[in-house]
Amino acid sequence: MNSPLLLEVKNLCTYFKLPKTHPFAPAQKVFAVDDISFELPRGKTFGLVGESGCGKSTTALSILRLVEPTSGSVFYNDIDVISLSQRDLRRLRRNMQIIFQDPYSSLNPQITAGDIVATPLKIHNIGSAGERNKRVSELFARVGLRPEQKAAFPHQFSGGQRQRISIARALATQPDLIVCDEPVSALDVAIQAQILNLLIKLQREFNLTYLFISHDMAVIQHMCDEVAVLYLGKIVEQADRISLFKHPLHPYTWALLSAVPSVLKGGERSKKRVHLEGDPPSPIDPPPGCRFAQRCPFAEAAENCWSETPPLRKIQNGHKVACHRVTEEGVAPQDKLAT
Amino acid sequence: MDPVLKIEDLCVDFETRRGLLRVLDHINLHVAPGESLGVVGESGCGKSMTALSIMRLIPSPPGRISEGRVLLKEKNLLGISEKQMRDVRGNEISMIFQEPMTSLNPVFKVGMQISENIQRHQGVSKSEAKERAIQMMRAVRIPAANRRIRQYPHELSGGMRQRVMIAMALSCEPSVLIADEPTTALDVTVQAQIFDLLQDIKERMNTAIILITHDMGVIAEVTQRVVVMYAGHKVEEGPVREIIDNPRHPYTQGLIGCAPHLKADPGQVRAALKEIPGVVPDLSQLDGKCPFRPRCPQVMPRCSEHMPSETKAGKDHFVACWAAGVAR
Repeated sequence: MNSPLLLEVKNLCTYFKLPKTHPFAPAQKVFAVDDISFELPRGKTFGLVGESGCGKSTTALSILRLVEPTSGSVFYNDIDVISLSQRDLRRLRRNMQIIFQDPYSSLNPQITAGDIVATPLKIHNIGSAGERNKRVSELFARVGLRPEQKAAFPHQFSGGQRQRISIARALATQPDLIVCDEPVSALDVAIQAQILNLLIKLQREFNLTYLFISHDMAVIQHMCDEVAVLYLGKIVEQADRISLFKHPLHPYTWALLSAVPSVLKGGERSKKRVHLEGDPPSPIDPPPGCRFAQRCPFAEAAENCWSETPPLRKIQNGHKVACHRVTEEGVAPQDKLAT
Repeated sequence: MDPVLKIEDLCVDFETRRGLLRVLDHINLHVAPGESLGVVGESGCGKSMTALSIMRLIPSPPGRISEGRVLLKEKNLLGISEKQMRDVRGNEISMIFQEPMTSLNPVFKVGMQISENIQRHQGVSKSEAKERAIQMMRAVRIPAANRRIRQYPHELSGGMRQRVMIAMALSCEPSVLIADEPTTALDVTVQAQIFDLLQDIKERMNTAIILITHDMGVIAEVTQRVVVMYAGHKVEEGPVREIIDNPRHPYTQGLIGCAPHLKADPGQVRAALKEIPGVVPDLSQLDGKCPFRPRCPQVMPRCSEHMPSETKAGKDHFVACWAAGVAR
């Protein structure tokens, strides 16, 4: 029986070993994904947001086992994905598909758009050649392409149209879960709106569940029901869409939001905003304590910011944060600045 | 204030297998000292081409500036020799490009790349140029500049590389700085740092900045005046708040409406984003009538008869659209 939770990720860790610089060098590890847990209910959109190198994509790839996670568990519809054999995994992948960021490098330039969309059907032995052809035409119409365009090659399409082909390919096997890895970042602004609207329309039509990855806070706000903010491989804050944007608790989320340029802001508001100094540090052997402490304007030794990793704790109905400085009542350090 | 840079009726043609393409069609714009002008539009609408024409960096052949003038303080840059132009580039007008990794030379130390420009234009000694390079790197807030000048581009992060590019561009205190999508490859927190820096430089050195971007949010926060381009044409121009609060051209309205805006209170209902249907037209398909009409929600018969001319829509606000006069 279908459970209301489609995807459950528990303590997922993915570390990459770096090659040693010389034979006696200490082994170094990249903590790409470090102890991430979340649940994704059926028909909803879960957003992962953060700067480059924070582990958004690695999390997605680890869930699909396109990268083997180091530890942790992933349950898809109560099936343990991590312990599946390659054969069973392949069967399961029918239900979980992915749309990549760059529509130029994620489509095989040597085969036609129609064949690209038919490939997942062939792999999973779905239907006869005639049925597959019919299904591909139907998918083309669904994503706003003309069925005649099946015979064209990827280079004959624009960026937005290529992303439509990627979406059609992801939909081909009628999956429940689609991982959208920065699906609009490589597209022009006007085309972004077309693709985002299409994704929302398809979600309603097919009751799709999205794991939506983006670095763009405005896109995340538009698309997601629940959002996790990642920093250096860890979730620093997680909440439903409304409470996260209304009252961001973690200083990083707050800074990230205030850095987004927007047409809505008046001149005065933009003067009040904070800017983080420096770049995100390297995820190779991160220092102890809070990983954000280095750039955090509120980090204090007295609060253990430099010595103890803050756990992700629940503040109020579903709003979780990993910060020593946020009080049990949900008062964030930056709240005091506003008054 | 008198503009420091003025472009008059600039036309650029490209010779291609499909015939002569007009990539810029009678572009007029100007920027004053200490002012920042935004140039916005989708890719392929001629933003970068405008910047390259100012610098006379259009690949020729196949490109050619066929008409118009580029006036830098009364001097027509299109009329001077290539040798004289080299004294202008990097000295009076500088440019920052989108991808800092590909615009820095990977085999030279960053300090050397900055001081090279100073030595070339200011005729100072090597040691003095180096000293000035360190000062420049401090000015763009690169920490430990003494140490950084000896590093290679690959040793720096994306944000640091873009700072080096800015230091290089500013090293001769140019009167005009052209920034072509300077933060597209950077994270938002780093983007905010770079824009703060540009703002600061503009005020301190009274530099005129031309910022090319596709992001209306960036335009709103960083620039004072904005030019909207579409398919090689200027379709709207005006003060930034006026353009954002009261856009007259349907394309400008589309650009503002199509991007999701970050709100402090997102609310329960999610309205669908306004789409601009279709894509930017193929320049070979243009027919001298309004280029936006296939995608325009307010299209009328007149649009396929004549090219709309630029009309005044408010103080310093100009728009080239037949519907703009009627609709509001």
